[in-house]
Amino acid sequence: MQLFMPRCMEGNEMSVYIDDKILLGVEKPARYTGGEVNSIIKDHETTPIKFAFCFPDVYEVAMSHLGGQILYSIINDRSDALCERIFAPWTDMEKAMRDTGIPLFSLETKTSAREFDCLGFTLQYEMSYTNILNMLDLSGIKVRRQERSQDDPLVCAGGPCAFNPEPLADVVDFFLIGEGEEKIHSILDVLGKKLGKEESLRLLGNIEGIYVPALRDENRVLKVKKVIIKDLDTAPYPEKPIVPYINIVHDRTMIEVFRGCIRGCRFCQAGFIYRPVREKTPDLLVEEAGKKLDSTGYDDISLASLSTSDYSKLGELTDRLLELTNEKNTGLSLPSLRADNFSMELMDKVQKVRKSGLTFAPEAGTQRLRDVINKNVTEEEMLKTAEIAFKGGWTTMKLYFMLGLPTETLEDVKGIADIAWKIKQVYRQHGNASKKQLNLTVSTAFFVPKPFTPFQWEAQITTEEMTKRQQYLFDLLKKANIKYNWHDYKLSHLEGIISRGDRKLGQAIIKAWEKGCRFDGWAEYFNYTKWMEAFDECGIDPLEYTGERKESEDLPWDFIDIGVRKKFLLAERKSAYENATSPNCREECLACGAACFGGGVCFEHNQN
Amino acid sequence: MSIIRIKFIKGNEVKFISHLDMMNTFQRAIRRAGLESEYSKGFNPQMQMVFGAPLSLGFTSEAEYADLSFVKDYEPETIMEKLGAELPSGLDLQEAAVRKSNKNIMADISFAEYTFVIKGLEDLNDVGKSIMDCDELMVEKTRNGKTRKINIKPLILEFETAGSKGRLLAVAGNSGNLNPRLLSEAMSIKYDRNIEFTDINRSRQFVERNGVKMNPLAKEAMETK
Ligand code: SF4
Repeated sequence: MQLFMPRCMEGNEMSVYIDDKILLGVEKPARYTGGEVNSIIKDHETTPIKFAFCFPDVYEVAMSHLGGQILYSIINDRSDALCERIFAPWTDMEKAMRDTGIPLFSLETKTSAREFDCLGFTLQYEMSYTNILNMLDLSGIKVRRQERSQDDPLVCAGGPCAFNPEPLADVVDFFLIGEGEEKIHSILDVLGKKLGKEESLRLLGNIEGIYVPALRDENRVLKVKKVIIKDLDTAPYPEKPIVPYINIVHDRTMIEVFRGCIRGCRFCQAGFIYRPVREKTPDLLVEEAGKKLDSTGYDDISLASLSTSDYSKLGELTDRLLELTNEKNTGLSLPSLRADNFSMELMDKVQKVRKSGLTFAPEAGTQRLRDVINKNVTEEEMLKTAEIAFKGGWTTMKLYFMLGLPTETLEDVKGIADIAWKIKQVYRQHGNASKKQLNLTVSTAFFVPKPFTPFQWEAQITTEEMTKRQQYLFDLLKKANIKYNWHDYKLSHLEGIISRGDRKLGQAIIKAWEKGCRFDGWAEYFNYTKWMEAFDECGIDPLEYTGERKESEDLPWDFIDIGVRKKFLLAERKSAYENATSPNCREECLACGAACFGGGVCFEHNQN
Repeated sequence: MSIIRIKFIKGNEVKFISHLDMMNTFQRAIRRAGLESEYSKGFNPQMQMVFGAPLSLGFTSEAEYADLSFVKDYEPETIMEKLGAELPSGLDLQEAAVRKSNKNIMADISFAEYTFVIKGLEDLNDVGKSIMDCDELMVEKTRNGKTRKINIKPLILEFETAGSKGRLLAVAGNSGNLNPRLLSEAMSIKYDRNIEFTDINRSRQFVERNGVKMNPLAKEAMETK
């Protein structure tokens, strides 16, 4: 189905003209005008390979994504290729575009999306899937790959959600499983051959890490192994990131200190799909920070990684970065630190004056349940850290938890309120309670079982259970007079359905989009009823997808090989049920299988 | 320490960048250029810079001004060269000079001239003259949710049309300000039809010294109050 027929482009004209009046009528028109510092404009006439980096969300979110900037600079560094950006227009702009027949266009040259050789989407969260369909439609491209023509661009997708590609396998021509930097050149080389679609896909299918659904249609047994950059120090990074005009989510220089996570929290997909952990050396990071500050003019550096405290040379790195930031009159922020003493000292060094919020993510309310999920933090540690923090003048704290984790009981839920209450008492004793009240917030999200985690077989609790547990916690926290932020259980439920979806489920995603769903991750546009109707009309029982999976069952994503073996995930699941924790990669290697990539943390000991 | 007044063009490419975002853009350009800006003291040090009256979203300008404070005594040529090289396309540095007076550009601007294309005039003659000759020109202005009627005539110094082209010289700055869009609304009411200005461009701005309008970078303006 195609909802939108863009106005015909006249002759050879590929650029889209957008009248001032349209831009004056939408919120933040600078989302659509491009021209930012360090954006790159190349000549379409003389550059043979045309790639569009597509992010299925609004500009401010898209531009905060580090991976996009990396890909952008790698592709544009090639003389035979160009990369431009295409993002989801906000609903006001979408309406204006549909009303006036303007097709989806790139920010750099306002080229119609259809004119590119390849549209590369990044799949960061399931709730952006309908936006992908919508963007294809706005481009005048049919959403089902089987219905598209030779002239349409190839549609590809990568990013964390691509590890379970089947829900989008009827939409996407090829998926890249793993880290894009590793194989982007091989992809561009194929595109450069300018072959027919089938031939290109056949060649792409031979590249490691690439999954071509059309080849699977032919019933060929496929096994696709993820690709990673073995040595991050040799990985290219953008020396000149684009500097947006408007405020974006992360308005600062971002430095990726390492990839992956050594911890192996059993609910966390990133902790497994990005294995093994690979670090960059401080030398390189300091150099990178300096170059990026010089080329952007940003006044803040932020370290972007899953759990910054686990960087093995964090002390050295922050000391050297502080030298740099003092010299350049800029700030340094350290998000995602662990709640331990060392991290507190660091925070103190970094933020001499401003004591902004402190964030802890114990995830579960009792030690038993924290052991189940392998979150190695004790209540004692947390209270001790809180004490140091409060003595040091901190007055704001946020606590993050999950509801509905496997084996959770109301006892565990009550544990959340207990921890929060104890932290309040610590503040009363050690904080500046007479001058300023503690600003404490508890936030909960619902557990969503994700592929490639030890919990990939677990059931997600029902929506009735969700509301019950949330209400229970709400009442407890209210009594204790503690602020509570919660997630919409309907959104978590939908995420639970899609994240372990299969190809059949893809039909319901298309149906939901046809019914008008888009920007599902945005509360103001999320429409649960339409989604449930879509499942119903496609003959899909959501509970089949959120329910428990048998260990003997073939899972839709089993044909993807992330290095970590299924046997290992099963063993971890078993440990979870025995309330047994597992050591992190640096304490003891459990031979998960990721060592097959021949790099990273798995070989750190051999080097020393 | 030096305060440098700059004049720059805000072109088509950046006409949808808001005033605040444009200030951010200048700050980042100054950092990239390696120029040592003066910072405010305190908790959250801010780069010291003052811009002239904000330009509405969608307007271009050939005459924007800002006063930039530096820790060092930079020559205007240094600023032209280094800052000029770092500004994104669409923002073009035109002139720079050391400001000695203590009146910043925001407080100093008194008049602004705009050019635009007028739509909806077709069969009307002598529009410029009839606007200039009328005693009052009423229009509704909504501010903070309250709507009131105001007379914009006293803010208009010159207004003329030639074909579909228009030119307006109006009071600007702290003592009153007339957005050309408000004039088009007033004209729509007066002529009882839809009159629209497009391609609005701020072509000149002036400060005032002893009753004389002058270029904000004129020697006299930069040295006396
Ligand atoms: S092989 Fe060992 S060190 Fe490497 S990721 Fe797996 S558990 Fe960690």
